Amino acid sequence: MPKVKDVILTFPPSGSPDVVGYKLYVQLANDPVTYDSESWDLGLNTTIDIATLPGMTTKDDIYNLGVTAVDEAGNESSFSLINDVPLDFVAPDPPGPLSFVNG
Amino acid sequence: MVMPKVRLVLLILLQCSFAFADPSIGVDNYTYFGTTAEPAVLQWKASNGAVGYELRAYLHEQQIYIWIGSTTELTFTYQLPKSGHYTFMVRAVGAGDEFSTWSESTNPEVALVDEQPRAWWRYGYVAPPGPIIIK
Repeated sequence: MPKVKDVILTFPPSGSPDVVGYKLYVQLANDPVTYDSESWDLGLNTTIDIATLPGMTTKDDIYNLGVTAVDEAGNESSFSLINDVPLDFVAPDPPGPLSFVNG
Repeated sequence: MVMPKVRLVLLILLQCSFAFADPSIGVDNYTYFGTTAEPAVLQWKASNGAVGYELRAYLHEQQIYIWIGSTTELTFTYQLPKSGHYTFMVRAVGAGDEFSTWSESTNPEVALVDEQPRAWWRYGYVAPPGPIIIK
């Protein structure tokens, strides 16, 4: 199995008292993050390994990322954004074949 | 991160009657927007004969009154407990534990915006998380 480097995303929590979770939005970098972008519920976690999110893209590319806070009524905050993040989920092909050169 | 404070002004008017009518939702209400992470500073003018004041809020989306607290000061800092439109009310407490009627922020006769008589309320929305860091 190849080893893929962890991509750890972290953010300070919202200061609102009734936040029940956070959502991560991911969008290819040529488009802005919107509430219609692909999203993942993060629960109350504020530090996550992006590569472990189920269904997360495995395509190496440049992405825009957004995180929102969600309150108990389902209202969402505005985005905390980070743009043009290179995500590399694909390990390079292994070298080879390996030969022994009898010198 | 230091959050800005929003200063809201409520003028108290001491009266003898006592009422519990729902606060009105007026189209002319001035709206103070802010996140529920930002404390609101309520302020009112002194009432003759008052030894203290009591405050409450009305959350319009849920149609509930929320007890805020009591104080002997003329200002009170309050953090909204959840998202929504809030009307604020203050009443004076006399030495014999008698109360004035509530002065409501949606009543332009007893409410001020920028020192001018005007109805107001506050809309609190969810504060976003802090800046994202990728490691």
